[in-house]
Amino acid sequence: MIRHLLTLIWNRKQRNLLLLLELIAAFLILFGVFGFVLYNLDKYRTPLGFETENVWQASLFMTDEPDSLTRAAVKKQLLINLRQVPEIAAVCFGNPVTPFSGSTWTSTSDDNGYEISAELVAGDEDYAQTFGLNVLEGRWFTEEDQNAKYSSLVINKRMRDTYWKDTSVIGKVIQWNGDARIIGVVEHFKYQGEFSDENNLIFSYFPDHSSEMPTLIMRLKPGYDPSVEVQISNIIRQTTKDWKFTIKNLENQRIQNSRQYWVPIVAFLSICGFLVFNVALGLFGVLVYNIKKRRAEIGLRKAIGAHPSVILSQFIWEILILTTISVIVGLFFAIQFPLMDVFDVDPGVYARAILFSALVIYSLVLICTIYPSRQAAMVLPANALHEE
Amino acid sequence: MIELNSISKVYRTKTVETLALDNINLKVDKGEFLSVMGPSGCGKSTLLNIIGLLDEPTRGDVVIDAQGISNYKTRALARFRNQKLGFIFQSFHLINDLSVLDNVELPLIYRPLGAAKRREMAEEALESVGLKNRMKHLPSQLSGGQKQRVAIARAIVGRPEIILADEPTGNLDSVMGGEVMDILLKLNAEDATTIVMVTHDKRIAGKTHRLIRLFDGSQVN
Ligand SMILES: Nc1ncnc2c1ncn2[C@@H]1O[C@H](COP(=O)(O)OP(=O)(O)O)[C@@H](O)[C@H]1O
Ligand SMILES: [Mg+2]
Repeated sequence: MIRHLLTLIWNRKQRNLLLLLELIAAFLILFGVFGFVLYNLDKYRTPLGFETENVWQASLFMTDEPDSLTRAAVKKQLLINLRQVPEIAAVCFGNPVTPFSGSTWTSTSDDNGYEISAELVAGDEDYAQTFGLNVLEGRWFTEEDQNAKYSSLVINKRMRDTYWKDTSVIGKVIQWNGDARIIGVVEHFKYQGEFSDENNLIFSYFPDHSSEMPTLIMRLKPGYDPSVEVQISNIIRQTTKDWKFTIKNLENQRIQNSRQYWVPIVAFLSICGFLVFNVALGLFGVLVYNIKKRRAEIGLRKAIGAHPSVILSQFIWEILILTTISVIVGLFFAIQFPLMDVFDVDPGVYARAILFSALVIYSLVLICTIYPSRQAAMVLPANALHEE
Repeated sequence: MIELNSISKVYRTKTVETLALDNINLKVDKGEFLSVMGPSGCGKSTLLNIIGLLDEPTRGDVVIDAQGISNYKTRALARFRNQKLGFIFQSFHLINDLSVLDNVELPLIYRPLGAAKRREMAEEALESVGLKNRMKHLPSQLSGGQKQRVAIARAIVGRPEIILADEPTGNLDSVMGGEVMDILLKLNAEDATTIVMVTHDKRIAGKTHRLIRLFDGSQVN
């Protein structure tokens, strides 16, 4: 039967061509959209790794004057004053590479002949607690790290897995601006946003009063009174005198950052849905038309012994074969992306995009073919053979 | 072999009700060649459809091989049509997208037969209608007489016991019609195939064993 249908489809190739092209195009567009969406959702699926809810961040523009000693004293005083506010759960200083700011700092180092490459973030001893970082192994920085023999580093899990998978990394001394010791591993810190890649990351330590650390980060207790925001801003202004500063809410930053990704994802999926709907309509129309045109053939087949269920399955098989041909042709194009490594995308994303596209195409085709094929199965041979 | 008992057929459309057959009683014996004549619209095709189990009578029973037919939707009935009946139509009803050979093989694909066996049987059937050299042609490349011979090959390929032919020579000139008729006569004579044939042509009807006439759905003698 399949062989017979293949012959039939081959002999009708000119008439099937349009349908075939439509299905191939639909498959490829679905592949593209699913690839894009899955690629982004994969990144989105790994946790951000830090708190944004109730977290506020103030970038301080520390004036050159007075000297660095007074500056350090002002920062110390600022922390003391802020810690007296009961609504503040934690407060710390970090460097300008802050979440969602778009700034990154990447560096490479030669570790005894091995190149190590990582992004850099700096924080003080309260940084992990303020952001709610999950320290998987070892510990976060303490004040003792100021006087340690080697400078202390905390790395992220991704970096551990990249360079030292399955080995104990705590206490390891590497070459990173001189000798440096890894003292801790943090699970995630996707500071560039929820949809960003998670790269190798090194946290380096600076004490809170250091001039390298102009960013004040505060985590407030849940359900805090909004008036505390004014109070905080007053404290900063009064303590620092002439320093300029801007305060941002990290949760807002996170939402804004993610919106850049959600908008195209939703837009592509909507366009895709619209397209699928149109393809379905077109397909349905073509199938209904084909069956109208083939009434005599259907009548004949029934007359010579095809049971209605055989007619039904014939028409379903015909379209499934056409779909399979389209999917195979589509697959040939789609597979070029991972093969030629067109984009820096995990092959698993392509595999799933192919799978989902094929699934959608097949479901679409099956849904569109059921009604026309049932119509075909119900053709009365006496009528159909009489018509011409 | 075929028995129609008090068969009536009424076609109902939204506006009209047509009594296409009115109380027909008919017996066709095994090996008989029967022709049916009558003016256009008198119910000849309807009669053939009812004998061929393509249509259900409104009243009366159809008995084939001593078996009364009650349910027209079963697989068994489809199988029966496939194995015991062969159909030939005035307008051939070949599938234009299939080669001559594939058209002839068509009834066999609904049987559990291997491809080689099907092909062998189809070639044999084409041989017997003298068209073996046109196997690979498409129906559109054949003359009317050749098309009808292909249709005959398709009707006989499954070695049916009964052939139902609805004006098989109606679209053919007399030479081609004669050729087709010769094939049918030979089938009847050599293989004892029972044939019921509708025709408008008195001379052609004259070559058959028996002739019945229909007028307005009733049998006249
Ligand atoms: N499917 C149908 N629906 C309604 N009327 C029909 C149908 N088939 C045949 N008829 C009517 O039944 C009568 C007999 O038709 P038919 O058997 O085709 O005649 P014949 O073959 O003798 O020319 C005609 O009046 C025809 O219009
Ligand atoms: Mg007729």
